[in-house]
Amino acid sequence: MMKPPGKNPRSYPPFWEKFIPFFLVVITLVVFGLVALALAVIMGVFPGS
Amino acid sequence: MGLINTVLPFTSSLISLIFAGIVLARYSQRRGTHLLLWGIGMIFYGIGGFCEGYYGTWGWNPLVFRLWYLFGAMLVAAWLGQGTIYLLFKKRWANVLMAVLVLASVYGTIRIIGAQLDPDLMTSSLHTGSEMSGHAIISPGVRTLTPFFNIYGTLALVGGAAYSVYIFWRKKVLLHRTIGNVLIAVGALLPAFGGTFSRMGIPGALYISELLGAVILFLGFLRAVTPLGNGEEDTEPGV
Repeated sequence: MMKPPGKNPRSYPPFWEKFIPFFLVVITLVVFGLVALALAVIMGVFPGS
Repeated sequence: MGLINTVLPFTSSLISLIFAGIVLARYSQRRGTHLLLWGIGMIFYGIGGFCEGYYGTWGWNPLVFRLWYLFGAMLVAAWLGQGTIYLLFKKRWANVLMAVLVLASVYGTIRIIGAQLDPDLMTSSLHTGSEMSGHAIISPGVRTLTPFFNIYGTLALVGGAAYSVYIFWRKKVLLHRTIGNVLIAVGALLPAFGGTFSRMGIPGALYISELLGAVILFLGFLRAVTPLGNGEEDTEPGV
């Protein structure tokens, strides 16, 4: 029997279904923050390593 | 502070080098430029940790400092990130970025070799002097290079891992790779936070974060290459 188009029968366990979107948002914010910090170091606003 | 400045970085170095050996062994079997570059990147991580442990045990040495700054502070994130670039991008673009990275690395190496150093400056501002710090570099324009490498490395390695998480999650496939990339993203970020906390004067932050980073990166890689045993076949290219 053919599967209906657009239906994905797979799913992750509930914990990962909830955690991953939250993780992606946080990691995006953190990466942008670190890049901003590095740019601040380049411009001399913040001390570098 | 003695144990923090010796045992932690030496342990971090050991874990990094073991990890590098496993990745390079996998490269010898499967090929894949990403594996070669990750292996090289983890060797750099190991060199950085060894130099930190050397400093904590035997004190200042200008050669050791230059090796630490070159491999541990400047190049490691960018070379690890370049591995991810090869995994996710078309080979032609990855080769272009590789050429740029090699040229930039050669330039950075020349600048660090020729840089004037003053170890007393490592106790400037909030640094205690018990950890290594780029403040020892007097020559202008050398430390300014490092954030460029680190921006590139962070975007490539952490961004690449997060992108992989997103793709696998959206397709609802290969949960082990999703979890592995979550760990890789977290592990790659920890040393960056450690460096920031170190600049704020929190003792031991850098070395603790580097050790945790190495451990979590390693666990992430092992998780990503080991299916969960739920019957799902790992047919996706990559790690």
